[in-house]
Amino acid sequence: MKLLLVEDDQETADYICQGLEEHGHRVERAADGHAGLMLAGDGTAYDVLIIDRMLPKLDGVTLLKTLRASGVKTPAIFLTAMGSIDDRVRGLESGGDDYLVKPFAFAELYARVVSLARRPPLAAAETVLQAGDLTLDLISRTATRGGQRIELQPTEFRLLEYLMRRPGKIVTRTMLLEGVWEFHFDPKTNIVETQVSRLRSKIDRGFTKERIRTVRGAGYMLDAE
Amino acid sequence: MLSRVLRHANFKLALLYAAVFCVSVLVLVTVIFLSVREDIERQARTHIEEELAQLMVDYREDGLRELQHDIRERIENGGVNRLRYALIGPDGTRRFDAIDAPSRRGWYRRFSLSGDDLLIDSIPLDGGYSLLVAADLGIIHDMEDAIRGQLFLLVLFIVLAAGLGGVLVSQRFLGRIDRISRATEQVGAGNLSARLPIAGTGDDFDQLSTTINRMLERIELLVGEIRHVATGIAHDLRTPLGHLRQKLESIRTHTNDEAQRNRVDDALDQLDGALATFSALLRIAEVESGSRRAGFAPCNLSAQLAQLAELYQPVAEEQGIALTTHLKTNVWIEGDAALITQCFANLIENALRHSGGTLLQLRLSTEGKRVLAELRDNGCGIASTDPVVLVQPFFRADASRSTPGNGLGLSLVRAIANLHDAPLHFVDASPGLAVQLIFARIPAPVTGM
Repeated sequence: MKLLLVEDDQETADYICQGLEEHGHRVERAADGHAGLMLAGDGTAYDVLIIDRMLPKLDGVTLLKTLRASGVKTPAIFLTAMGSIDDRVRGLESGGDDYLVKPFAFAELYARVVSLARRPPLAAAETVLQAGDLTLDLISRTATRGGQRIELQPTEFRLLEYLMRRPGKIVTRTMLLEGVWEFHFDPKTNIVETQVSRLRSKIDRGFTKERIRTVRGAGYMLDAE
Repeated sequence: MLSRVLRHANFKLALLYAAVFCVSVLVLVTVIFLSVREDIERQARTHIEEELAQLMVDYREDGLRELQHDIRERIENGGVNRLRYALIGPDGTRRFDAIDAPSRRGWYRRFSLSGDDLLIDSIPLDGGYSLLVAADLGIIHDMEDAIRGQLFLLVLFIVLAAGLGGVLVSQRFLGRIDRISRATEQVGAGNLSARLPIAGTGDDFDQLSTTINRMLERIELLVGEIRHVATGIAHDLRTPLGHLRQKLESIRTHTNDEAQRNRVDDALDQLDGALATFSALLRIAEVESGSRRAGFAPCNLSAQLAQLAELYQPVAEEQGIALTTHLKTNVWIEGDAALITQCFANLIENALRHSGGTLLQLRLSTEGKRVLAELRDNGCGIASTDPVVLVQPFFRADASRSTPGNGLGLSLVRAIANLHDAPLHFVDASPGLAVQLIFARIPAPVTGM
């Protein structure tokens, strides 16, 4: 992947770049909003934009608004040190696809960036999701594996849908909380772990191949093979 | 509007003024009437005295015959309002006008059955005769009747005019009060830049509005400074903590020593715990500032609670707690969906972690416009159901000190409840505790198309 990082804090920028490069991606850097605008203006050069919310010269929200207004559709994730609800809402309204509050674990950022990259366009609305022998019909709201019907609770169905829309990609606990249950805070109980293990026991029961894998220290991944 | 006008102080004041004015008018009219009546009587008296004096001069000079001639002349030439004359003979015979009165000497007043009111003076003449001259005071009664009739119309007019004036003045006042309360409600809703309208007349309202506006300016400035400081703290604290976290993670990634990795993991957990407390405090501050009210939208509380219950049921089951629901469907309220989720999630987690019971029930019911959301456990309850103590930041019930947590959960619940104008109650359910939130129901939005 080729990524653009617009971040004025040198230390954080180094840390993110190092991590991404260790995973084999190319990262270009801009230290202020103007430089970011110049680099991203083309619209085709990058797979994902990582933009700090508070930047010198041109703040992150204005930067992305300008890009979106000029037709740049590159997925973008905001990094912010503020983390208020207002802030998140404004960030997403300006055209941001995701939003991550500093400080964060690198694994969290990485999972989100990978999840954003080459996301299938929303216009092509799929009605059936497929992952190997696992099928999810979004119209009839049914799940089957190897032809066998699996009974799912509504919340389990949504969880599986979220995972199946990102096959082979790591999905973190926070991504699930935000994306499936609209939890924009950190719950004190292990609801995600419990829900995932319930879902896993339902879809993997009687099969040798495990569809939902736990990626240690990072999150979960749906095996698409 | 009309019932508000009738209750309005200005309207009542206008009616009171009208009553005082009516009494004043009555007193004034009575005084005028009495003095006019006295004047009429005095004039009549003078008139009679002069007439008698003149008649007596003629009588003394030319005798009874001339007197009779004079009287006859006066009766023939006088108009309708002329004086009346009578000459009473020694045998009691009366001549000229029929004055139905005894012939006694001096002044007296006579009211006849026919309604005449006569003021009479009588003088004895020689030979047993006596002369009576009288004036008709009927005009006084006519005046009295006229005033009485007009006075009733006058009072009616004053009361109507005062009532109408009161309504108009009250409406003007209420209009301004409405504009002022709309502006203050906006401020209460978190729009601190709203200002009270100034009519430009320089009246009491304008003076009050100017003072309040100065106060609002100060509040806006202070809140702005607090926000600025909070953002500054958030940024200036998160950045170095972020660097710290990055360094720790870097150490963790690049070490092969398992023991060291575990120690770094512990340090990361502790750091994340501190950051979580920090985020919770900032979230409470944000909710308390009321700025989220701008993002309110209709929320399906039934669906949200059902989803939360479904989400927490497995966790509860693992802890041996049965989480059941009794939710009325399609109940909508106006609010911030994300915060409402967080509010009830906090309550459920609190109950799961601290109640010590085996049952947990989430209920949603309505009563007219009131929506009652209740979470009830059968645990040990709490020593105090005083909400003031419970929702204090960092408050931990004695029994819960050993369990992890920062004591900010209920503070946030209260802040979210306040933001939604939802009263929060802690009720002793013996056994256990019931936490109740009361929202205002709104009609379900029209869906589809």
